[in-house]
Amino acid sequence: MSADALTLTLLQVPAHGIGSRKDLPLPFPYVLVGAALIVTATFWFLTRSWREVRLGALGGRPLPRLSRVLTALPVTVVARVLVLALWAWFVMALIAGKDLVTNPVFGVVFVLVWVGLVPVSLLGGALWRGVHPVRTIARWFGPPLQPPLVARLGVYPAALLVLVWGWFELIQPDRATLPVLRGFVVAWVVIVVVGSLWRGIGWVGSADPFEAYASTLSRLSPWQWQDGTLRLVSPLRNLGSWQPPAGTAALACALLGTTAYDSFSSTAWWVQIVQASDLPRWLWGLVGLSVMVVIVAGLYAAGVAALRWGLSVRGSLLATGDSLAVGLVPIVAGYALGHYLTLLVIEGQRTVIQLADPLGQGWNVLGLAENGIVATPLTYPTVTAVAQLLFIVGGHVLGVIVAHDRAVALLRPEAMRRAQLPLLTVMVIYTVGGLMLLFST
Amino acid sequence: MRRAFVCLVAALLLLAGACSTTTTPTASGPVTIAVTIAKGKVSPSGAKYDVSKGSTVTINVTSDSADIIHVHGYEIEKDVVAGTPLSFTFTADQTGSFEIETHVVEATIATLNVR
Repeated sequence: MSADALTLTLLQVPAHGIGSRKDLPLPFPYVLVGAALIVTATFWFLTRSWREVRLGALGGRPLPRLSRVLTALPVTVVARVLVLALWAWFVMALIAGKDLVTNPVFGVVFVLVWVGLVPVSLLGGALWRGVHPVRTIARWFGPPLQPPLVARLGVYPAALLVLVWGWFELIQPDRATLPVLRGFVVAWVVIVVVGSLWRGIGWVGSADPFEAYASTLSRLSPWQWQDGTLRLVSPLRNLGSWQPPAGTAALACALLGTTAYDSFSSTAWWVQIVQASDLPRWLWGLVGLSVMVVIVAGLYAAGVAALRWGLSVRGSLLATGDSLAVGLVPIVAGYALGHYLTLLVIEGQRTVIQLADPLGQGWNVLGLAENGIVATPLTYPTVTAVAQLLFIVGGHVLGVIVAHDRAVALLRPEAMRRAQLPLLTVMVIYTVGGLMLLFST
Repeated sequence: MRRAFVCLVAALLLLAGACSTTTTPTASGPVTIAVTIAKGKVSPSGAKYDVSKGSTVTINVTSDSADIIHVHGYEIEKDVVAGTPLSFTFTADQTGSFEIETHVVEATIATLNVR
């Protein structure tokens, strides 16, 4: 096995669970450097902050020709049908595949969909939503006339379902067996399809946790549609000009809490407590996940409440929280990439290779089965650690900038610095907490 | 406000320092892990072992029940027979963090951090 082209054995895959390799704990000096960078950047920014809204307008460069190509009927039909065919391939593995770890459907759900949607949305903007299989099928029956979201519900249903997904992905003991995964997928289809028939296609945006996550992250991409024209914009402006739907703060807190629990649950401290106890694992998991989400959401609510306290901020606490949640989006993205990017790279390749033979019949569609997993970057642990650090610190810095710009719109200038301090402190705690968890796993 | 940030930094450093005291045994040479499975519990439980790439890792198991021991990533699975000591050795030649688990008792014995 050479150092620069480590090929992992394909036939002997883990007997359960997804991902046989995890990233090494972040070296301690990295955590110190990261924490110092985060605090310094936040402080520097606070003392040199601007006093008028800068990111409020989308701006950017309109791309009318590209827009015409992307919205042309043949292009949209081909793209949607191709993606629908891909989903059909996944469903075939789900329904008719064997209950073995070599069935690609586990990797599809836990890695390609859940982790893959992050880079797809950050690089491809609204792509996820554009080729959503349920939306494609709905189009078959008529053009969508409904608003993008169900009024008043916002993305609250999706936030709740992210927590259900978190429980399934991280705690449910038999999640990597076919019957349990089938049950989960059926539940997803029922919620999304029945809900769409009931409340219109806008329900998908409100309730599908995957689409809501993807749509939220797409605001950090360099692409944004405005009045039917695609614009190439600065990701900061894209995010800064966004008025997030109701429930975005809850969605962001659910995502951060779930990822934090994933790290927390593999710390030696937690594993030892759970394994010494006679209570069932799922109960400990449920408690751990709930505590993480409550901590994340409680800190955020406290930060927002402190910002509003004694200041003339209009609207409810929830409305202010959702508006300021633009600042959480880069933290969510940075944390997700810092945690899961190597999983996507390694297990994503494994899944694509397994997709050559979805039913375990020895097929080799497109010759995929002949490939090996290329794990070159992982042979250099320092590269992985530096990348993790950059994602997390970078996400934090972008978050602080966008949150500040949003706060300027809400606050009286003379009270701004003082009022922002609690919220910025919460953001520092999130990011440094994330680094600490990556260090201690 | 400057003072608030200084306090915050100090608190973070303290917290970081407190966590760093929980460091794990490091080894550049061969590593031996003695595993006991008794009454549905494993020992060690959730331990961390830091080993350098290329080290030889030996795992000795004694158990009061039949079990399966699984080293993630290296994909080593060994059947454990009740009352019969088991010993196996492998070379830690991939970097990363790998769990060593039992599949009947379903517990994490240790995590092997190979760097």
